[in-house]
Amino acid sequence: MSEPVIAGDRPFYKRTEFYLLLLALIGGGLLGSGVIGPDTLATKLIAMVLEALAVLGYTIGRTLAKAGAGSDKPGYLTSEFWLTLLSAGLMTLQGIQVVPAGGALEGLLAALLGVLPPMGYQVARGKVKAASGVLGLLVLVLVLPLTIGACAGWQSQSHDRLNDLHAALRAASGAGETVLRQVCDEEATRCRDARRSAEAADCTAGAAAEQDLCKTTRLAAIAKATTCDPLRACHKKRQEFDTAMVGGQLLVLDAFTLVNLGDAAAAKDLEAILTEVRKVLKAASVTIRNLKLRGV
Amino acid sequence: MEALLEKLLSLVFKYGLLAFDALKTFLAARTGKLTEAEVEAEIERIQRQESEDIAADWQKVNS
Repeated sequence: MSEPVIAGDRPFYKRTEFYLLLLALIGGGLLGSGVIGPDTLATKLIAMVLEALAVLGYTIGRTLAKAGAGSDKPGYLTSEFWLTLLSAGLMTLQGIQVVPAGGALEGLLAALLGVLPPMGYQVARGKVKAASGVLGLLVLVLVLPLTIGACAGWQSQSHDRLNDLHAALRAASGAGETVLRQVCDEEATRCRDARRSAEAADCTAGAAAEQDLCKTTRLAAIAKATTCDPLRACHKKRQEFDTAMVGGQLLVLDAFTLVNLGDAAAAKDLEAILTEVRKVLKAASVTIRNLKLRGV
Repeated sequence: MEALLEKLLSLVFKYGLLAFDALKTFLAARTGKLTEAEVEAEIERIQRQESEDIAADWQKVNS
């Protein structure tokens, strides 16, 4: 009898979902760039949504398969990393065409859609290997400013777009925190009630052996309640969510640097350009140091 | 059936309020010009809020 095939064992280029995704990306790219189909704004936006969802689905599928097989491959060697970059690049290119002058809503949509696959990548990779979260963040840091820059140009519109993105992130953070806080609070209440109930158990009745058994059971119940595994799982979800939200905020900060650089370049202010370039280099060196510290 | 309807209504109410709050936050945060200091403050807030909430949960378990 042959050995069962583990989902993560086969390389990505031997899997059907990889080719289906490539097909979706190429089809979406052709549709979005107006090569095929009607060259309308709605068609472009639909193509972008489809591409974003396809990459997100592929990333989550591969991550689940790898998590089951215990993969610990570095993030930059995975197919989902490169496909995420590719899709974000495609959307950046499409974003340039999609956004007419002054089209704030379309620009924001393009920016948010550009963020979706990298964000999915970051969260999903975090499930396979915690250290890869930094690399996922790096993808976000590289990709979002490009998307925003492409959508908004280098003028004051860029600041408006950053404002909108930051506002959307804040709203998402607040809503997510509220839901997760409630869920975790319910778990904490359950564990507290279980601990109190275990502590209140009376082990003084019956023979000595029965009392000993009762005490052992009570101790085990108290330990289980105070360890509260469901609460730990809930906190892990909260931390993953917050990591993604902080990642989004870091992107906004990084985009600020890029927009400032663009503004300085447009004003031909050499001193300001050099200051911004120094900031970019400093940010890059911090990221590289963090990667080395985490052994990526 | 009645219980299901009640549950459904409470869910709609709960998430409707949440969506309304999120919209209010979005609109409030859009006004004015965003600064880098505000973004840094938001990062700090997320991290501080997470630590506070987690600490409060464990305190509750042991209370």
